Amino acid sequence: MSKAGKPKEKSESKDFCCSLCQKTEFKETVTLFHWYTQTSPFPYLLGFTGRTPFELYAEKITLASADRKFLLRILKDTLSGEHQAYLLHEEAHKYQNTFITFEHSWKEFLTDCQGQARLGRIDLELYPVKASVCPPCAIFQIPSFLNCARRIFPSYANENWKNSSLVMELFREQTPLTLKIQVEKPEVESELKRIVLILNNRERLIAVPRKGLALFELPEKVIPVQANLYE
Amino acid sequence: MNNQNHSPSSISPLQMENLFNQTLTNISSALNDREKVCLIAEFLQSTRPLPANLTYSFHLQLAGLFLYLTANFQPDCCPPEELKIYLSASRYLQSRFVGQLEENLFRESQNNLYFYLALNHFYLGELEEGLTALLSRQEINNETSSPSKQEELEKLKKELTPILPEIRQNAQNNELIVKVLFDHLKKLAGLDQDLDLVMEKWKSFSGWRDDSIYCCLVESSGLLKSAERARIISLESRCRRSTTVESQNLVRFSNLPAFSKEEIYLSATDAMEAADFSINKHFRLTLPPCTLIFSFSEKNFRYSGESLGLPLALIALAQKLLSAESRYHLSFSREAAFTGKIDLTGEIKPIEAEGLGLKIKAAFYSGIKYLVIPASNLKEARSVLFNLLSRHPWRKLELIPARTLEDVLNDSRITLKKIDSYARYLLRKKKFTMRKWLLGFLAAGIVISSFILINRNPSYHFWKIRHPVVLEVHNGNLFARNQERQLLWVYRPSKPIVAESLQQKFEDLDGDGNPEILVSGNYKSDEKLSSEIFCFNNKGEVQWSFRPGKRIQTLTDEFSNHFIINRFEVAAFNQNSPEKKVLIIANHTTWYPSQITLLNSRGEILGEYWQAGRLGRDTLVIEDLDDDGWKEIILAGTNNDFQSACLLVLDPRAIIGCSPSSGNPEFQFKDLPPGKQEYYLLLPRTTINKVMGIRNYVTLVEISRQDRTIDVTTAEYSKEMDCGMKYSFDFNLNPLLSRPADSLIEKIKELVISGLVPPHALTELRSLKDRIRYWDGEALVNHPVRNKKLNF
Repeated sequence: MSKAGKPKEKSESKDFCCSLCQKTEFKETVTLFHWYTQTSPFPYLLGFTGRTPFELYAEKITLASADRKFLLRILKDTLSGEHQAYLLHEEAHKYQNTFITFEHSWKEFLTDCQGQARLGRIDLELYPVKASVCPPCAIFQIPSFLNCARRIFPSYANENWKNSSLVMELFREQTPLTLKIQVEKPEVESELKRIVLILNNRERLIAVPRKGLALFELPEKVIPVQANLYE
Repeated sequence: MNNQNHSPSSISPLQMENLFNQTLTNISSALNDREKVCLIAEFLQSTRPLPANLTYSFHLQLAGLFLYLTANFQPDCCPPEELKIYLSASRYLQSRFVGQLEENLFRESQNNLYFYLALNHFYLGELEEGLTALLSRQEINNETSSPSKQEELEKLKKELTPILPEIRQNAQNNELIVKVLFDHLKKLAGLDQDLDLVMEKWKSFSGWRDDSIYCCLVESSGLLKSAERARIISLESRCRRSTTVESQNLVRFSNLPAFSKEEIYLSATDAMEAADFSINKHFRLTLPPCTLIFSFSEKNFRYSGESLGLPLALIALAQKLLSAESRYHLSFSREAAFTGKIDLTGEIKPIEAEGLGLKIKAAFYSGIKYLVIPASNLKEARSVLFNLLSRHPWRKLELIPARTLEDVLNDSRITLKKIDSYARYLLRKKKFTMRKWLLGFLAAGIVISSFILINRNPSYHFWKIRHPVVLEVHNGNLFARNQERQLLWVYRPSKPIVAESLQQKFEDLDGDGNPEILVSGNYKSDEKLSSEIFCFNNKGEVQWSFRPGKRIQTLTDEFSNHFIINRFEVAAFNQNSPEKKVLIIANHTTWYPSQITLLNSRGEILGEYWQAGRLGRDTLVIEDLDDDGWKEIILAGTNNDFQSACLLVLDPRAIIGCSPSSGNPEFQFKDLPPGKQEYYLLLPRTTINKVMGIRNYVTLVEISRQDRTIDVTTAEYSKEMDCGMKYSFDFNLNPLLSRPADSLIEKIKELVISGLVPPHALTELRSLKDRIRYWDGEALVNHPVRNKKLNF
């Protein structure tokens, strides 16, 4: 993952660094609350029959949005001790490449195209968990050939970003390849928080844009397929 | 499996979550592992068409439990179709979570599932399918697919195809078919272990047992839930004689769920009554009440119903007969399962059609051969069985309809009746009484035998005075008697002893205060005599024995080993020591050598001296002649070498060698050293003695302690007549006088008058003492002298 953007002055670079370490305040988020459901019965069951518990992935917590459309299931890998989040929604663009943040943590997690995100060894026991999810506000499908600067219109966008567009320019002479993305949105002054470049099913590049501009250093021979905007 | 309809295409995450939670709830209330597996498989199957991202976390969450359960459960009576669904689910999970879960989990799960798939196919007689499942299992274990195995299987199938119909036709049941098949399969390397495992499982459905019986029961899911599945389960029982005075049977179940206890106890009480009724009717027995303890072979088996009645009654019957130690013994086949209600008279009542179907299904998919059902249910049972057979035509399950308990007991396929012989029955039943009688007889026998034994053996006559004072010989045996002439013991020697030869002495040899008994005697023999001396304790036990003589040789002759004890004497030779020694004088039975032997108190030889002539019986005196504290042994007799009477004195410390020799090789002992006698005297022969051509010899040696003289009497003319000389010696063996007996003088006078002897024969008698010769160790001299060779 590479961070892009070139602050020209010292104050700007300082702000940029601070912004990376602070919790991102996404604008369009959905808050998820603890969904009181039956937790895993297996330890009880197996323990009752005198056997050792055999639950490789134990359910730690399930969160749901107020409209019950989002469901975030957090499982714990009992062998490694790591947590995994599974974001469920009927619409694919709501769970694919969606940012997940937790109330008491500055960390942000991005789901993959299956809606899964590795949380690692986070502590979910200390306080009532409240999470926010931020799906992309606009999705742009990137064409296969980027020979010169091109303007692209979103394949999906919410109301605010309907008229937005991207100007993408690939600098082939540079090593590594550099992709310049400039977001153009005439009406709204909303600030973009993240631009995510989806390279394939697994690899994604996240950038913190400054005034709608982001530069991505691309791995060799990899052409991005999609660019998502988050506000 | 239940087919729950879900709409896979239109399901929200929340609905999915709810469905999942519902599944979890069902799993938590599932009866057993098989049901849990079934529920998970259902969930997986129904949600598989849904979008992958939606189901991912739910399937992942259930995968661990599913794999764990399928790797460990034992679905014995499971249709292969059901197992195939589980296998499919396991493979689906493997394809989806291959990187996230350990490979081993999938392998173990499929390993177990394939084994039970094979087993259940074999139960159903589907041999090819069973083999395929076993080979698949092997492939999983080897982690590689082996085309050669498949080829081998194909080849095997080709080989088996022509013979399978014949095997199927000849074999009575699927187990035998499988056995024959397995014999053919031994050549298929790698399957041996699996085949053994299959046969091991099948063994649980073979043999006869009197303490357990297979029941075909519908498992209850709970109070509100309908029954879904029947099981073949083993009901175990043991009977204990009732210790209470109550005249009714007691029933206990060691593992039963609380909600169905009352119903089952009622059913069991009826079954016990039916068993008693049947025992009375069938065996003509009235058995005492007892306590029967039942338990299912599985701890968590939940049952409620009445079809347990028949197996309960049967096992109660067998156990009651067993505990009452009756002649009759019942066992029930492990190839059969039983189900049916029973009334108090042993009549088997029908069961519900729904349960019957489930039971037949359970029996059908297990390894049992017979299912015993109420006769009234036969028609519907056949219908169910027919339906099942349409799917699995090779399964050989026989339905046995029974109207009463009698029908079951009389069917030799499912009931084994043994009747003990009366003798064995009595031995078993009356064993305590018989043991008592036997012990009584044994004790009486022991007492009588003891009386006889004691009476016959005087050694055990404890009431008698145990000190023998005399020994007698009767029929060659030695009889010891006490002072009251009571017989104390009898000793039977190897050969009979001549009564006349008996010599005995009672001496305390070992100084323990109890005198030992020394007895010598000659053995009767057709040939030459021999003798032996015994040392007994007062109980008649031989302490030691000694047989005199040996094969002694001169330079020209060899003497046979036939010596008889002439006399023996016991003495403490050293005045400073209380230890007593035994001196034995033995003469050769026919020839001249005599043996003088000194033994210690333990019968060990201390010294041995050989004399070339016989020694007399009354010519032994033991006396300390030189006052040195050691008693000398004074002996006399005749010397064949010198042809005259002789007198010798031996020191007990030096009893060795042989008497002096004249140099005549005929009398010169071979391999014997010169004798260490203290004195050796040759008494002169008289003229009459010479004229008559006989040897003179000493007949008597006496000692006078007061005068310190030794008086020696010889026989010069005849043994019968007192025609001898008398010599007197002091203790240094100096001759004091020699005097003829009056009868000798008279006889000589007669002979002189008749001219047979010269006149000096009479005059020489006074001077004979001067002609006594002494052996000085080297030669004979005419003056008194001690043996120079003796060092002390």
